[in-house]
Amino acid sequence: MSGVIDPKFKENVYSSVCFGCGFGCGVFMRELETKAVETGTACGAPILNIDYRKASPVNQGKLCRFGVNLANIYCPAASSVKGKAVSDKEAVAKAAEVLKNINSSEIALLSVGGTTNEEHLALMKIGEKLGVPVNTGMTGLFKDIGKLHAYTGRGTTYEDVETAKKIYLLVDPYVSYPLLIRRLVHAKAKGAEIVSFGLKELPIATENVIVEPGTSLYDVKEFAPDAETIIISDLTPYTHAKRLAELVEIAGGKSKFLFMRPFVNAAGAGYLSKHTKQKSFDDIVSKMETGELKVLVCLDSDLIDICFNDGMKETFKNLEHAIVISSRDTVICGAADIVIATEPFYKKKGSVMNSEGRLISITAAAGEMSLSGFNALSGILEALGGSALDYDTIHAEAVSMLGASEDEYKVTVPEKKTAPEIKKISDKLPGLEATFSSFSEPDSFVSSASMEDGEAGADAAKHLYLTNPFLWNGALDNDNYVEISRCQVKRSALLKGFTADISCACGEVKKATRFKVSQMADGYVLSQRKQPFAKAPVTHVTIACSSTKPKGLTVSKASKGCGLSQ
Amino acid sequence: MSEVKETAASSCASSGEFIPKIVMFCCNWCSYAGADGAGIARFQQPTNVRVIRVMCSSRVDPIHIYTAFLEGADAVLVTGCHIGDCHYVNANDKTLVKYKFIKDMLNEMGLEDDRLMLRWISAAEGQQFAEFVAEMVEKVTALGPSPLRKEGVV
Amino acid sequence: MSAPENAAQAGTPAPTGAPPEKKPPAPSAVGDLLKGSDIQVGGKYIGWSVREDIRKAGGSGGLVTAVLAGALEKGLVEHVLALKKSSQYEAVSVLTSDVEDVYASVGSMHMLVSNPGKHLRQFQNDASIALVVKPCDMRGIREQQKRNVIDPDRIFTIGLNCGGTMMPYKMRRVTEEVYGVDPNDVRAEEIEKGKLILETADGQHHAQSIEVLEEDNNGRRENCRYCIVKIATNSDLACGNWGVMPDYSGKATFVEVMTEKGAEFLRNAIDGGYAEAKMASEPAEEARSKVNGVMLKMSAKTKEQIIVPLHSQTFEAFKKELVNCINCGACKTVCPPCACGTEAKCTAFDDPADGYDISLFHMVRFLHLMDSCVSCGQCTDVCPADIPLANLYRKFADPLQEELNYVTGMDDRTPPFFEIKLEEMN
Repeated sequence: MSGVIDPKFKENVYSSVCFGCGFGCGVFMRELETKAVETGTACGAPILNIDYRKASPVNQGKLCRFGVNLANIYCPAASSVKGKAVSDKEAVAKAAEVLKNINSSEIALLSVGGTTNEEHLALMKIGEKLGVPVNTGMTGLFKDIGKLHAYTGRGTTYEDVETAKKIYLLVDPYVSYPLLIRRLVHAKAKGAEIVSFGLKELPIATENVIVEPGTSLYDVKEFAPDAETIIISDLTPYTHAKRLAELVEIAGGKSKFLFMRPFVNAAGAGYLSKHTKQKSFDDIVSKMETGELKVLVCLDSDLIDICFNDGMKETFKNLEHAIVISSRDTVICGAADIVIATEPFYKKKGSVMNSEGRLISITAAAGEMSLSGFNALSGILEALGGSALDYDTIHAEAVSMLGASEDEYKVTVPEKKTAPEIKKISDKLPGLEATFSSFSEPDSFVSSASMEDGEAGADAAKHLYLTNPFLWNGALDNDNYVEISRCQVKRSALLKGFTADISCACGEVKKATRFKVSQMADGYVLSQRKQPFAKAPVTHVTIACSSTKPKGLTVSKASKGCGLSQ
Repeated sequence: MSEVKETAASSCASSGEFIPKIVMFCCNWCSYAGADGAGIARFQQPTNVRVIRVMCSSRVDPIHIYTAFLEGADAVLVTGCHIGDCHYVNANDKTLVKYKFIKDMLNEMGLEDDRLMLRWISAAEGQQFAEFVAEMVEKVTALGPSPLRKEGVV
Repeated sequence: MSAPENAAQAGTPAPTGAPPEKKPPAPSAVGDLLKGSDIQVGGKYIGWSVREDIRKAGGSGGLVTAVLAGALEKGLVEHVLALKKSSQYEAVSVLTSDVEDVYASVGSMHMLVSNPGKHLRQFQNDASIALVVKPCDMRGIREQQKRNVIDPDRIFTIGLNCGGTMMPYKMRRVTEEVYGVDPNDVRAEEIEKGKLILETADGQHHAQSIEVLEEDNNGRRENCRYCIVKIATNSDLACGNWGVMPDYSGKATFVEVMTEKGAEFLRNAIDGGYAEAKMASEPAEEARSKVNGVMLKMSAKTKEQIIVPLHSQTFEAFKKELVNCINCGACKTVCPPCACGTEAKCTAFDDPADGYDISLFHMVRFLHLMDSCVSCGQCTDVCPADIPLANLYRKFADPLQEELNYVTGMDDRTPPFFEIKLEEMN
């Protein structure tokens, strides 16, 4: 902190929610406006600090690595039109002008749940006016499995996890949703059986079953959920529909589900848009590629960050107009031609719904809340000929649509209609490779030659992402490494203290990648950070010992095959 | 694929015999010269020791010792000038303070006493150097692999 | 019993073994009202606010509030760290220069754990700040002062007697499940004769024995149960209501002036017309040290049960405790004595790619806390994997601090790790 704190300034403190994922962790954000603001800190923001909100029913003040570093990840956006800084009003007017003069079939609205229920609903009102749906990016999953949605419902709380007898994990909580760990620790202490189905062996699990991403759950004999089981999985834009369908077919109506979400209000946005007929995530992307789509409006949804494909930035150039309404300065702000900057998320007046289905309001402990994002959306609607939105009305409407209690200490679930009967459809759904080959750049998803031979490919592996808050939000952490099994290290003749070259069939190579030896399935590479060689959620890669060696050391041929020796 | 797995697994198996690996920090002015002396005088000593030269024994930070253990060292030895002979006035007094902390901590963690040793060895004490190394190798061989050594590291 | 006003930090479950008083109670104070010039370092006084509303709301005479308000209005400090309360279970400390915020922060809260020492650190000595601390907060601040990151000249501290604090979320649940009361109805809380009393909106009192609550691990935090500093004699003014006799019960605060700065601030409050004070009587002083003694005895007993002696742990046991660590680093960011800031040895050399059984981060923290751990328990509070970190740190710190006869954060003695020679070692 440079400069002296002006005695006139007070510190503002907001009782907010961490935006890292859909877990809904409570956190206090401290905002100190000092003279440093005039001189400008790194990105012109007031000085932020977090404090631990120990009364939060979700996390009791505990935070993961993302939450602890939350203050550093806020970088406020600035309104601009075609790269030129403008006032928020001008940006809103420009956006409205664009939306007015375009055919509704050429517009797509995207809000994955990066902002409050109120703003999402406001965008839905704009959508109604324009006659286009608001997409949440998740529907690709439900397009085929429609009614199964009823079973992915809410109401399983984290406290339920603590008291469960049997827990099936289909996510890696250590990386993806770290705050789950303590709930699992308590469950384990109470004698729960925790079975993990995945690629990595988890220390928290009482039993680890290696299940490869393409494997059908019907073929996994250990997967035998009963009425006392809680199944913890996640719903992201990349959740494999076939796996999800199998999950619901086997356990639906019998076991409890807890579906974790990657975006802070993904659950809320999902429920608000429940009845809109949406386009799937890859529909939007492929329409952008063909140029059918002319205008894309993103509400706190960074398509470039969310999309694992590096080419997304190029694809954006196909759009006539990209309108981004964002509270943070993320990659997409650089690619958009109209940016409407809103207040930072931590001080947005509004509510979010977490993965449990708990409605949490963002409030001010000291200082004023802000409504600029909501007002910007209301401004657009007005310019399009609608009537201005009133916050209280929209808030009440959102709460009643969600059927939730406004008390964050209570999780209420709207009364369920009888759930539809589950029809078996998973066998009709496309397999993993088929799903993701059409995802983007089909050319890049060609199996490497060595794999086709069926033999030899000792250094061949499949790359998967270990999704985590840093990855979804385009923030960098000290996770610049890949994880591979010890056997894979030997197969690829990697050496301890050295690095690996990882390449995919399309020719992209990441040289000198650091690797970590993990207890996991052979033949896989996991990474927590975006990799240039990974064009799709699953990519075939080859791993070789890097020629880049630390200085002063040489590799002799003799050491090959005894990977970890020094 | 399965064949590859088998070969990998078989190469994974340890050769059975335990050969301890010892990291030794020697101060530039006394102990390193002592090691040199031991070599020149051709005292017989085991080859399990990797010597790291530091300017002063007090340069050895806890981080260095922990890293050595975590990377797979079975023992760490710190050597320096005798008290009063330090090249940097009283720096080896500070070594003593640090060493006490590290030693207490590692003991509490359950690491055997002999795995971390501090010894003053002057430039003239080549023989003592060789004896110290031999003694430590013998002790550590008896102790077996360090509990801090990561599985799979050979 | 103890309910120091402005004291979310403080908490004082009464010692269960306190002797019953039979003879007519002695007076708390002797003599006439004091003038500012009568206040001396080392003096013990009974004081209260001149404002009646503050006296009432505070429950202990509002002296602390009066001193803070006086310091702020007379310009002795630019800012105060005041507590903003949102419910009986939740408050957050806020930097303010508005005296109304100071008056609004009046009240007693035991079911809250704040960390003002670490909050203070965020201002990097850029402002002169007055704050209210628990003994452990002050110990952390002292340790940071020794490491040259907090300027003692820029802060003024009022320490409160503290018998322990409770985790807010847990207490919400206890309120519901043990008391059978809706937490949203709770308006006030009080600790009296070893019981935690909750007052609901309808004016009813609900009481539970703290000892019984603690049997189910529902009472004070583990660290509070074996804490060895109950009276913040390391701060500028040590305040609390231990030693306030029935004649002033709930209407005054016992204050001991620890430093010249403390005397100056108390004089300012008296001369400025914010507070009044009298000399504390001898029986009052005795009563205070008696309560303290009983509390310390209880702590010592608990400590024996909780901290397992040296050499009993093996490496495997530590590995097991730390296996769920998710590398968040929260334990370091909240650690009151940790003076390193963002670029610290424990984080700079720690790399998850190494995949060590116990990360370098923990190894370095174990070592660094051997001579600086103040036993506040903040690390355990924030650990997302519920690792009993404070307990682990104490396993290393206790034997060493005992051997070197070093009590962290109570005086200006150099931390042993920075000594050139340890006296005890020769």
